[in-house]
Amino acid sequence: MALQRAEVEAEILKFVASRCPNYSGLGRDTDLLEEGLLDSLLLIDVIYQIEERYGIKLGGEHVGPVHFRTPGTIVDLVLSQAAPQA
Amino acid sequence: MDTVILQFDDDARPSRASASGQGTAPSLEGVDHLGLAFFDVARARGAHPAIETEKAAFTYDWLLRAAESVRRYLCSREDFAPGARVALKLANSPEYVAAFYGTLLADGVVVPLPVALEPARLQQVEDACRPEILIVPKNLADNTSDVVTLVADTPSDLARPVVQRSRDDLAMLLFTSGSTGLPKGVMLSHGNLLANARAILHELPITPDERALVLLPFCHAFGNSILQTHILAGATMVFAGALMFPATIPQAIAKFSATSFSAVPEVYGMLLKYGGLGDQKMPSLRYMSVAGGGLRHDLSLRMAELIKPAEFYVMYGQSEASARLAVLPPAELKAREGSIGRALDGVALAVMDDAGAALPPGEAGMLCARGPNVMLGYWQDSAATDDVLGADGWLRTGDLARRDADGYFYIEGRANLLVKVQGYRVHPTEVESVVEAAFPGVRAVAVPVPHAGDTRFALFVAPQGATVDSASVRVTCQKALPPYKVPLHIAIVEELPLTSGYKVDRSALSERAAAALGQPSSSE
Repeated sequence: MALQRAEVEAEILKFVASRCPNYSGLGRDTDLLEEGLLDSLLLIDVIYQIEERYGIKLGGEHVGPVHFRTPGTIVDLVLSQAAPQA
Repeated sequence: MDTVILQFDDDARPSRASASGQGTAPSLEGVDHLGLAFFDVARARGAHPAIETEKAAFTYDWLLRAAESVRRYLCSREDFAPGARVALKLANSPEYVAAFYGTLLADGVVVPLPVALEPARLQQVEDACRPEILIVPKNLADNTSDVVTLVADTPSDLARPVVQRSRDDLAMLLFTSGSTGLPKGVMLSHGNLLANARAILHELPITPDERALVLLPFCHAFGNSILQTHILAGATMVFAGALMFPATIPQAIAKFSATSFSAVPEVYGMLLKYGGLGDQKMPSLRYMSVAGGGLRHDLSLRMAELIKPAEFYVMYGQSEASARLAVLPPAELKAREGSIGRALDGVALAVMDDAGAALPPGEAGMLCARGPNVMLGYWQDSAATDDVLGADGWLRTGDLARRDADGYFYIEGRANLLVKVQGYRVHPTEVESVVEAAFPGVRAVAVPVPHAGDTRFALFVAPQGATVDSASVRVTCQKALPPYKVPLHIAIVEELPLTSGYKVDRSALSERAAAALGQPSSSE
């Protein structure tokens, strides 16, 4: 079954928000890099979460600022990688 | 504590360095002041680039004048005297390097701090060593901060400053987690830092034309060691790429023609998975090195294979020894599985029993080190110093190890509870005390757990009659601790498992946490 964007987005937002309790107003377009929210530990955990939860294998080309800039771009990454098996 | 910020003089924007550079680095024979060693190298290297970033190149000449600006500012303050502590809360940057050597040239003592240090920890450090001055980035300044303009009025034909401090005087206070969880100030002298830099320059191919991609923080003992060796070699440091995005590391190596890269094991784990190492050609690369924790042998071998013909150095060190103590020659990597190598030039390593007697090859005991790089002691803590540093000069590293018949050493585990997370030593107490203070009456136990190729904390909380839930424990930790100390897994438990000796069974808790996270518990 194809992943639903709304569902993935809610899950990603919930996960990132749980790790940034001092930041209010996290949204799909929040710039995680500019706001200093994404550090290497959160990145490792987001990758781990994506790989475990959605059964996706990420490669080096995916782990970059383009895909991890906002919760929205992370969702795009999940959907694009999940698509072939859907 | 006054805050000070450093800013660049707009008229004197660092010019492009001449790639050819100038003379080679001078012999530092007989120099026993790290600031003067820097001064001599910087003057000899002149137009050679000391630092390159995405935006600019900074020559040794610029760096020398920038350090002089800091030295003059410090010496102009009435409250500044030789031995005064100057805390640096700066990321790796030209400002950090200028502030470091400027402080030494003023005969001050550098106290390097992580730029993201949590306020409670900063307070502990301030209480412990009372720095008069804290140098911070621009965004942390307030309107009472002094501003020092780098290079501004500094002449280019500087006279070598007259200094009072020497080999056995304190140069740097490096705060690290001690065996009780409170920060301990590792006191490193000018002689300690110079001896270690010389030993590494002897062992590693760090030539004046080396261009090191440096991403390890300078406030960390390993990062500081990289700073000292590369400056004293008159080499170039490149600040580019991001540890967070592994693919940027090989890209930065290629773009800046970097010749070396050094990191902690976690970074190599990420590089192997997401670094695109096979795809990015790195013809300039000569070597990479790992220290600050054990990298699994199979991963070391894979790294060595992937970066050929560049070499892969496994090293071992400790803050208390100005960082590095041992090196495994790349040619021995395959044959000496899991070895940290042999003692560096001038360093003695031995495996000892509890009574301090040397053990024969093959027997496990406490790894001890002796040499000119071993610290003076812990800042104002003679009891802690006596615990690790014997009158005979042997430093007890806290690591259990054995030696083979050829003098190669192998780490078997840690003798105390310290946990290495991302290369940082963390005592479980640092996590436990935050929770026990926020929820009076509870007993909190933090244990290491492997996660995604890394080590993190898991936390077990026994309410013991108090009211507590895992969500509020998590929020407490996130507010009070930097991310690498925040437990990944938090569980409220009625009872903590006990060992036969009626102590909390920490390994049982580690296994429980690993099971909860769905990870194999026997990673290392």
